Amino acid sequence: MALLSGLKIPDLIIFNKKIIIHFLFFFFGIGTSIALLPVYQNYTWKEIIMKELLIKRKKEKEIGVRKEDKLRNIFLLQLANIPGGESLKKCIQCGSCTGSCPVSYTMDITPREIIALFRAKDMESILSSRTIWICASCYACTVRCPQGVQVTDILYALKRLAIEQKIFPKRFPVYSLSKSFISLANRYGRSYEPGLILAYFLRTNPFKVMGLIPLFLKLFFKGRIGLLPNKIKGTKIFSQILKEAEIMEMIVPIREA
Amino acid sequence: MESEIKMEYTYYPGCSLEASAKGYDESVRFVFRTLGQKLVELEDWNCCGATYYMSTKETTSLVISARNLALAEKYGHDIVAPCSSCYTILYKTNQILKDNFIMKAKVDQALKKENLQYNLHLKVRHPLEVLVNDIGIDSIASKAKISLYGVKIAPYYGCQIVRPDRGFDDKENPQMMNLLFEALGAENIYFPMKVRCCGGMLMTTYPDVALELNKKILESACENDADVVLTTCPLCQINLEAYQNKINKKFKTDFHLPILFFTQALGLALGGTPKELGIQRSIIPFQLKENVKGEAR
Repeated sequence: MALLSGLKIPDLIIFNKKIIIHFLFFFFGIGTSIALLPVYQNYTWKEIIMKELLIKRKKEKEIGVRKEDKLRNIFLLQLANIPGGESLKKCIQCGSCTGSCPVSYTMDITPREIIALFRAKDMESILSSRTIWICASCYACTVRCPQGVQVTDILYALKRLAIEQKIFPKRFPVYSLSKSFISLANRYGRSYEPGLILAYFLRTNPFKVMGLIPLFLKLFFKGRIGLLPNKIKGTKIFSQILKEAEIMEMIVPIREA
Repeated sequence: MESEIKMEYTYYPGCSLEASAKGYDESVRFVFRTLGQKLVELEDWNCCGATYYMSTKETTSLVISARNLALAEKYGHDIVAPCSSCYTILYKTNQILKDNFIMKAKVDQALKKENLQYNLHLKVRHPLEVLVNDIGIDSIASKAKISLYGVKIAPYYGCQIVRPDRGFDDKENPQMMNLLFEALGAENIYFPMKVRCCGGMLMTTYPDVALELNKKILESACENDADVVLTTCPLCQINLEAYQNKINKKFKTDFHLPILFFTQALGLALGGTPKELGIQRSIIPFQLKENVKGEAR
């Protein structure tokens, strides 16, 4: 009270105004800095909000541009590694890829649109799309493209980029399956199907394992499921090779993209 | 009879042929043995990495499949990989390493840990192509003991053995299996879905999408009165066969179509017993009733 007693009435009103603004911005998800508050004393409500929004938009734009450039550069480097990756430039947007894709009906962005978005400099929408994950790698698009664009391999590169940048939801099915597969293959040198399926469902939805038991039993009695994983002989040397490969993975070739 | 050309191949079974597709492994070995070709299993082979690895870590995936190539190169024969996925990955790795010397250097660096080196001399091949191109349809037909007359087959090639640039058959309308089984007396049905995708690993990640794709393939085969679908890929086989129940439940259909590996059907024609060929491992049983049309189910 002693602190407040020194304040005049208009000061108090402004103080309240600040608090209200603070709350407002908090709920709208706009961070306001306390340091900026004194500046607002002479502004009206409308002006304050407009100003905050403008600052926010400007910041977003700057971050967006920087991120876009970064993503784009990594993608172009990936592309340089793919045989025939430069063919992306030749795309004429005919849509043959979308037409021949067996799963394009469930995609949010079709393969043709992916290339269009790349040209429109919108890597983030591409990477957050369902498309790159739903591709079954059947290569129908690659074969039918009149310009020889390696669509499937380009989607692979985008997938790698999205994984690298961690742009996907938690417990994401495709990533979980890949991760389960890789950890198994790394440990034993060979894949082990029941282990893979189990690891996958533990990562995503453990309750679904129950639904797979009838199929498991059927296959088991037909002698199509091994009880123990097969290993390769030199698992130790194999893991050394993998370690070295990880290091090699980080070396990026410098090439004109 | 033609003069016998004995060829030797290095055999790369792949992980699924050890377990869920054991019938494929048994029948490939049987067919090659019966045709007088030598198949030597690659010692200490490792997983090829499949599409999972290729689509997440590029260099590492190339390294692990190049290890197989480096091991196989010592044998001095072409490597034969029956699994479509293994075939694609090994073929692709071979191609990339030949094209991209930077990748080759990176891969070599990693392989040095096991004192291995890959000198790019290997050819990656699929059994179907080996059977048709090296051994020859006529030679196979002359060795057939049982005619498949009256069996209506739907040859299903799947995606990865014909696309994107394997070049051993037509990409949209491959003919090798058709010609092979025609020579053995079987009847090829009209099957427009022969290279349509079965969804592959989408069956685990997005089951709804994959079930729809598989339903379309089965529908096309059933509409055209197929007795059996012949596949070249372990994943297609398990998707089409093991999930038929689920498809029936979901789409209220009534599919009960046997799905065999093409080598199993070929093995039957060459006089193999179902047990030798692993046909008893199928969930949906297939029986060959001799020369009676329409009763081959």
